[in-house]
Amino acid sequence: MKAAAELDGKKNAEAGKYLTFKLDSEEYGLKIQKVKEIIGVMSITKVPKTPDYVRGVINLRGMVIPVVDLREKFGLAAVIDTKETCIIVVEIMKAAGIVSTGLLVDSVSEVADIGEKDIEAAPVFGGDTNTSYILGMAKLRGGIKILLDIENVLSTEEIVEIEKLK
Amino acid sequence: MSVNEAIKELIENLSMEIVMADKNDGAALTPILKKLNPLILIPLNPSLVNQTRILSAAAVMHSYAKKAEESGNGSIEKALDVLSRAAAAMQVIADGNQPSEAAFPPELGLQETKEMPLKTEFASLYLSLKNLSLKAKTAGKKETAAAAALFAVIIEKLSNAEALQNEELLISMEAWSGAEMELAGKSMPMPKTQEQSSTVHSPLSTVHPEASEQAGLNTDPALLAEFVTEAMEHAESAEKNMLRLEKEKGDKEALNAVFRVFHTLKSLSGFFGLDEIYLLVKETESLLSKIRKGELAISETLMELLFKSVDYLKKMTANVSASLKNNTEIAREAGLFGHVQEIKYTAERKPSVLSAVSEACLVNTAKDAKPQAQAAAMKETVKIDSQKLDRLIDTIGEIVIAESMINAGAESAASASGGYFKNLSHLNKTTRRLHELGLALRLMPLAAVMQKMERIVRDQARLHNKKINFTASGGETEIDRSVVEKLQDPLVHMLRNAVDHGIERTGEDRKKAGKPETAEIRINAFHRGGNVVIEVSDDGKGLNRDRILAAGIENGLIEKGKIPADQDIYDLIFKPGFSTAAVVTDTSGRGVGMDVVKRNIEALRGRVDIMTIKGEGTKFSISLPITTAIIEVIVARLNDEKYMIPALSIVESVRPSYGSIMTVAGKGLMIKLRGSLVPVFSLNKLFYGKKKEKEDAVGQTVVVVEDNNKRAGILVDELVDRQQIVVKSLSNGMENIPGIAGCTIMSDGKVGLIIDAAEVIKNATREKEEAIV
Repeated sequence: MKAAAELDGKKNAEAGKYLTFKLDSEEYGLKIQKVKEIIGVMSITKVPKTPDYVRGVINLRGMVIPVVDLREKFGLAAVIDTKETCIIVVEIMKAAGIVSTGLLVDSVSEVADIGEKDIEAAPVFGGDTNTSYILGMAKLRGGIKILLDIENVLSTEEIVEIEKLK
Repeated sequence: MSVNEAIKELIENLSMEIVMADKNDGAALTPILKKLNPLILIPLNPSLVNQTRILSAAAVMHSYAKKAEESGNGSIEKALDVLSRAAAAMQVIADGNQPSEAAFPPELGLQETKEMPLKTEFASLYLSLKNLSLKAKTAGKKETAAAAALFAVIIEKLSNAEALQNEELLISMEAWSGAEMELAGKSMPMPKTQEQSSTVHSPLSTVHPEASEQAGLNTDPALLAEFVTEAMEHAESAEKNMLRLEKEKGDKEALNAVFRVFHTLKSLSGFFGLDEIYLLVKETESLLSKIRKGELAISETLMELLFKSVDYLKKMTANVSASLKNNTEIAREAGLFGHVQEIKYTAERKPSVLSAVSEACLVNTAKDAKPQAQAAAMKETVKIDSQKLDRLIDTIGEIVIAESMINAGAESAASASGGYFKNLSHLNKTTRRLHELGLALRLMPLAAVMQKMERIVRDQARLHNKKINFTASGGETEIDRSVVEKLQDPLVHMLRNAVDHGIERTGEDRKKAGKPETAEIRINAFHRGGNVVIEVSDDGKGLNRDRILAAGIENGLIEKGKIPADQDIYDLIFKPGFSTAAVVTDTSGRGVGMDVVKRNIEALRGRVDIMTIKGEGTKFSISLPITTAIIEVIVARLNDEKYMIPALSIVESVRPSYGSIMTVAGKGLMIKLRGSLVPVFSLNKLFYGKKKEKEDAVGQTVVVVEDNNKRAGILVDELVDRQQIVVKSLSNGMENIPGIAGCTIMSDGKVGLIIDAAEVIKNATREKEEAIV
């Protein structure tokens, strides 16, 4: 079965340390190298004419960065922020240089060391479903974590949409 | 007896000797060899190609005969046969005819080298080398012969514009060192042939002996990059002083300054092995030296040459820079050699009578030192990495924000002691000062830009054959660094327009209008309010209102029958594609200029106005904020969001009374303001597309903003505060949200959005036009 899964999807995830977090009951993982810091939720200034999944902007020690609501991005129902709600600040490489973005998540779990053998290829669902943002699936202590390619999740196309809204 | 005749005689003697030889005589070849020697050693006249062939033939025959002699009697007969045929062929050549293919016996191994059309200058070099090679061979100096032959091949390739492999050159040079050692055992000066080559137009010839030696050592890219920066600065300085020199021919300081530039660059470029730049500056420096000594007078042609040198210098330095960036070969500049030759020619003219006069001038205007110019240059400057500077200024901005946060917190500090507030006020003062310093660091005087403009006006004036006097004033006016760079293009364009269209076509036209023949173009800069104003004015014809109006109607920009106000007619020139120029010239008239100018200036948050009087001249007035980093805003609250509206855009704010609000059919909400109707709309609608219920301006505040003479009212709940804030831009793709000019960090730590008044007004008026009741 493993072979079949590999044939179907690409295994892009590398072994290493991943920061795991929760949205609803699903667990996700991000490469720790991309994570700059984790902060508790703070007041977010709404910015008009931005996609729904952009909650707004925050002040991070003088730097103004946008915050993406991952629940909204993944199509999950909205919930009220709790005291567990966090913003994970990630740094990704764009054409203009290194860019910081905040990800709003329900809660943060841990930094997990995921080995090569624990990673399986992303499943192919068929049809048009774009799963390019999934690096792979990791099996850890009975649960499955979805390893995300954060660059793909925040791909340029979406931000360019803002330009088109003009 | 001419050389040619001497050769013929020698060949005849040779032939005779061969004929008389006894084939059975073992020593028969010896006298023949003797007769061949003088032919090999004749002093070569390079321009007679035939002589080489004779010479080569003789040399080959020589070695052939020698071999035959050594191998013994059996081959003498054959050898004699071959030699006699060869001698006959030589005679044919000496008579100026081409021998047939079969003439030279194949046994000699004399390949008929295909006569390649060597250019004359290469031909002489080629032949010298070949001559040398053969002489060396006969003298038994094998290394020398080989080296000379290799160089000859190189020359041949060059003459055919064939590419040279690096290895070929290297091998030849190595061969030459071997030759040197062979010839003397001690190092020899470069052979005569190489020196001759310095007058030949070939890349090899520009090699400065010392430079090429070190060429390998000094191609360190970091050092080269520094050279590029320095060279560019030197070029600018030279140009500035040349302009001064042109205006005031006796300005000794300026002349010396120019000379120093080229002198310095000579050593620098030599050190780096930048041969072409070296050649350029070396010749220009000698020209300048002659001028300094009074041997040459400064004439218009001379100044042209000097300016051309600076231009070449700039171009070539840019080429070096490009080659560093792209890791490629340094591009060559066409026309460089021509220019250098021109300089040499000019420099070599005999000193004229004028020199005595110029000498006198140089001495008399020893009041030369323009004190104020020198004083301005005396300011000590330090070079700073601009990234570090930006970070420093960002940090200062943060301190300002932190300070205002503390301020905000302090107001509610119930238990604050007296000392606390004193310290806070001290902090305020210090921060304010630090902030001003930080801003000042970003500021740059406009003088540099103005100087560039001077050169451009000068060149344009010459191009259009117009006499123009250019004055710049207010160069010490400072403006934000980033703005200065972006100002260049608009200014250049306006000046070109002024020269091309503004100033009358000929001096006659001006005289007829009662103006002095020399036109005036002026650029002036000064502070006014919170802005820097730059005025570009000319005393030319002024804008032609009627022509612009006609063109406007033609291009559909004005409805037929409607006559707009004069100012609006003049504003038409800022519309894209607009052009009334009868002829599209090289510089302007294509109609793409002024609208780009306006857009560029508006992008800098500035504005440009025109003032013109027909027949008298035109003035463009550019107004720019001194710094884009800090602005004053009014903080307004709408629902529970706070928005900043730039104070500059605000005309007034009103709490409209019931009677002054009205809903105009098809145009939505409006308020009556001193007789005129101002459209009002809500930020909610603009930003979130939905109207809050009961948004009818009652009990609310309307902030009236203005841009470009158009007004709109922004509906807010109340005005909260007036502050100075640090403008930050929204990044990550949010830079261009319509209606939002940027953001800032407010005193409560939250991010506040800054409203783009101009955009809002545009939308408001558009919405009103589209609004359905």
